[in-house]
This record gives sequence, C-alpha cells and structure tokens, in this order.
Amino acid sequence: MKLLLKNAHIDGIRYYDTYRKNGGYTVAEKALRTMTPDAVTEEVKKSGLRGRGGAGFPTGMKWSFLAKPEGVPRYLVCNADESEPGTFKDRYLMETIPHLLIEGLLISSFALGSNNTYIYIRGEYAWVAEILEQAVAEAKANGWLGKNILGTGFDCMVHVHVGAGAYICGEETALLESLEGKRGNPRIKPPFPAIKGVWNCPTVVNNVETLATIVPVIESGGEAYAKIGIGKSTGTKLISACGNINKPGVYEIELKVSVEEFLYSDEYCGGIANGKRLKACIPGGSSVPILPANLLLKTAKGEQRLMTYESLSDGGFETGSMLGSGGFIVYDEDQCIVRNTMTLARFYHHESCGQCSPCREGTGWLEKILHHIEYGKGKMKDIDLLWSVQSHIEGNTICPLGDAAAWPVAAAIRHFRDEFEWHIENPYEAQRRNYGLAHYADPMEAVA
Amino acid sequence: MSVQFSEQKLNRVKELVSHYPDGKQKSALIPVLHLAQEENEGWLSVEWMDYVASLLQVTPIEVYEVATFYTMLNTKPVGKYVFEVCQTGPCMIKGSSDIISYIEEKLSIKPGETTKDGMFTLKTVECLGACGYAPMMQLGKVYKEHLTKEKVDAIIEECRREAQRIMNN
Repeated sequence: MKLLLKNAHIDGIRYYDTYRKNGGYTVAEKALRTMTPDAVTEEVKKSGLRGRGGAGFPTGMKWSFLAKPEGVPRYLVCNADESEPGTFKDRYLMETIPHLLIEGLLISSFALGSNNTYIYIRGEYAWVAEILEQAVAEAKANGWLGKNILGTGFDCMVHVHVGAGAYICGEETALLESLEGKRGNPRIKPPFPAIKGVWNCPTVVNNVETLATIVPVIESGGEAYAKIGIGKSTGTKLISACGNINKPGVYEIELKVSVEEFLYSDEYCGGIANGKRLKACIPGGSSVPILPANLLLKTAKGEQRLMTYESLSDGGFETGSMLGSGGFIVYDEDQCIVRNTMTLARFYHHESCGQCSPCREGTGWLEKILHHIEYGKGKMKDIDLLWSVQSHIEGNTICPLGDAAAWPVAAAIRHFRDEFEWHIENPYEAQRRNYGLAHYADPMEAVA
Repeated sequence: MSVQFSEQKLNRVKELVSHYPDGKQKSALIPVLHLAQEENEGWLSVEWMDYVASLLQVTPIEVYEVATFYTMLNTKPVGKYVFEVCQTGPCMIKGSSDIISYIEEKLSIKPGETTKDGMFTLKTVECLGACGYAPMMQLGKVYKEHLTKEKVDAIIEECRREAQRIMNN
C-alpha cells in the first residue's frame, strides 16, 4: 500500500506543475479553507500517527503540548538531519517528491500557527537542499507560501536551513541549538521545545516523513488512516533497506507486513544477495539492537514477526529490537559482527558532542576495545569490560546518543558472544576468515 | 580587513539573514560559513572566520567554536578535490575498506592527507545517508555511489581533466 510514494513513479513529479496536476495541494486547500487549526490537530491525534524519525512518539500528542502564549511566535521545524546509519528514506522522499513535504509543512504550520517554518537539512545533502529551495520558490510563486495564503489571512514561509555535518543535530534540542548558529550540544529537558524551543519560543520538531504523512492523514481523515496497519502501528512507513540484499532501496510498507515478506519477497528486498544465507539484521537504524536470523523472522515465542512498532520490539532488548527510523540493514553469512560493531562504535565516538563524560569517554573506550578485539589484540576480559562500559553510558547522558551508542554493543555481545570469544581465541585466523553463520541460521530457510 | 565577499555573495548573506527573526542573525552562521569556505578553496582561515563574525555581529570565538564542531567545516587547508569516503557499517559490509585502500594506493596518501600537488584530499567519514547505494563517497556537493575501483579511476581522471580545463581558461 502506498500513500506517500503513490505518485513517486510519475515523471517530473519533483516539479510543481506535475505535482499539482496529480492532485497536489488539494489537501492543503481543504485544510486551510474548510478546517480550523484545532480540527487538523484533532485528525492527526485520531490517526494514531507516530513520529517517523525513530522514537515513535504520537505526533498529535506532541502537537497538543505546544504552548500558545499571546504575542509570542511559534515555530515548526522539520528535522531533515537524517544521519542514522542505515537510514536514507527522507532523502529519497525529498529528492523525489519535495512538494509533498512542502504541502505537509503548510498544513502542519497552519495547525500549529507557525508563520516561519524551517527545514533543517544535513549539509551533506547539498543537492537535496537545492531541490527543496526550488520547490519552496515554486510553491511561493503559486501562492501556497507567503502572505495571506488562499485569502485565508494565514501567512507561512518555509526556509531551508543547511547544517554542516553532525549526527547529533538530529536530536531535537541539538538541532535547535544548531539552528541558532551554535554547536549542536543537546539541551537539558525540561523545558521541552514545546514550551521553550528555538529562540526561546514554543517549537515543534518533526521528522520529514512524519510531516509528509500529514497530507494523507488529512486527505482521508484520522479515523480512516488509523484503520491502516495493526493496533498502535497505524498507517504506512518508509523503510530504507540496505546491506546484503538483492534490491536495496526505499520501500513504503503498510505497518503489518511480516519481516519475512519484506526481506524475501520480490516486491521489497528480494532476498539475500548472491545466494548467501541470512546471518543478522538491524531492523531500525544502527542504534537499535541487532537480531540474529533466528530471532528476526520469529519472536522468541515463535510468533511471526511483523514490521510494526510492537512486533519488532516484542521480547524487549533480550530477544527483540525496534522499528526505529526504518533503516533496515541486512547481514549475510560472510559478515563479521565484531567488525560491524566496531564501525558503529567508531561512528558514535565520532558523533558524540562531548558534553557528557559517560558518552564522550565511554564511546571512545568502546571503539578502542572493539578495535583491539577486531585486530587480534583482544583479551577475554575485554568482553565484560565492553559490557561494563556500555552499561555505564546508557541512561547517564543528557540526550539519547549515549543510549544509541550503548545498545548496538550490548546487543552484539548478547547475541553473538561466541563470535567475540572466537576472535579473541583465534586472533590470526580471525584476520583471515569470518566466523560464519554458526548457530544463527535462519529457521525459515531450513523449511524451504 | 583583507578578505571579503563579492557583492553577489553579500546579497546572499543578506537574504540568508532575512530568514531569521530580527536580532537572530547568528542563526545564519553555518550557511554563511559554507559560503566563506567556497570562497577560500574549501577551508576557513582565521581571517575568514573573523570576517564572518564581523558580518553577523558576533564575537570571533562564537564562530571558532562552531567551525571546530561540524565535520563539513574545515579549519585547515584541503585539496582541490576532497574524497570523503564513508566507512560506517552499511558501507563497510559492501567493501568500503577496499575502496579506501585503493584510493590510498592510487594517490599515495592516507586518510586526512593531501597529495603533494594539492589536488586531492582523502577523508574517511561517517554515514552520509546513502547506505542502499554503498560503497560511496562525497565529492563536493555530489555523492558518488556504487563505487568500484574502475569508478574511482574514472572519478580521479575526471577531476584532473576538470582542473586542467580550469587552468587553461
């Protein structure tokens, strides 16, 4: 089922004329002409839409927290600082159908009362920023942005703000600091951005996909949208699939497709590449726990695992993971879990802002210890040391980057401890060959 | 002050500043530093940072602390072409280490170094959001994806040809 990408295949959909011809901006017109801001928020609440950036917080609820003091401007900020390893869905959305985001921003700005809305986009996506700037200019030229839109008296301008390379700026308060022209150091909460955000004004920060999804939510109404998906996982979600699969790319799925179908069907990933077998998968961006094949397709209880918030986290961190940002990274039997974990630890070490000691120091130690193990200098007690370091980072930092750095290491040790031990016991062999599949075999393949 | 933006760039700065509320011109700092970097062969000298500080009416230290925080802002000179090769997990499992070694060998530089002729800098970077099209590198404002050794050869050739063209003009 496609809601966001249903027109993505149309030639020229990036440009205003084609987007408009295919029904673009009719939903914005409906919202601005026939609805009140509160009614829009109410529909978003009813839809059960959850933040698509990774945390999965209900969007309608986030909006309803926004303080509305008299005479103080309010701001909507779109988080396009997509940097979570494995995640490239927002980039695809913005490159392909930028006006969907602009339309979503317009409706959301109307609901929240934001007259100046910002898209904070990571600096590396320089060409995407240009696409967005062009889309904003087109929307403005056609009266969808600017003063007195559709004669309703509502003013709204969208500004594209380019960052300069910092994963941490995806954290909403770091993003706001960066938008103010400062280092991206996360703020201590409370106060939350809904009370004091950018320039001390009430602010809502939402992910690109979340804001684009406002368009289909308002188009069909919240109740109809909530019927898509299963339970509290309503609607559709963009999943960016990468790693050792036949068809890497961005797919829109209804939040009820099974992991097995997503991984093996030709509609999506098309199975493991080169006839190899599945070893492991990080289903929701590098921060979420890695799962061995035998826990990916079925839960520990033996139920089929689905691509939903609930099913992917079934079993907690012991035997489950998270839907996260939808960065689906697949590892085949030839991949080394130690090496992969080392690259992720290096990533978080590089991206730690340095504000909190447990994260600044701890991520460095995680990288160092993993580097030792990977390059044949590890000792058996290093595994427990890794565990100890990660457990001292988790929960002890201002922002969730600490947790995000700790979880991948914890999960790798939890599920692949024997591979770490093998690396340490066989330092020379480990340089030359991989540990292989061991007992992580994919149970579905045995059936086939 | 010896460095300054062209008239055209100054207008762009003005426009950038207008995106933010009155008195919040500091918000334009990162976008303006990008412009300064373009003017100064890809890096920010103290002179340029001080100039940006004066333009935006902030203290120089406010510019330095930002310039040293963000990966894309260089406070040291770089080559004409900067190869920023991603080395994070999803690229690693698709062979980014081989691509990095190949560039090292081909250009005789290590990550962080610049070739003697000032043409190329090699940098290893963390996830750039192109995991499905790995391995990849950023080259200026564009991504080069699905890299192979042959593609790297072609990119290097292309850069050399372009540099030659610019020099001849």
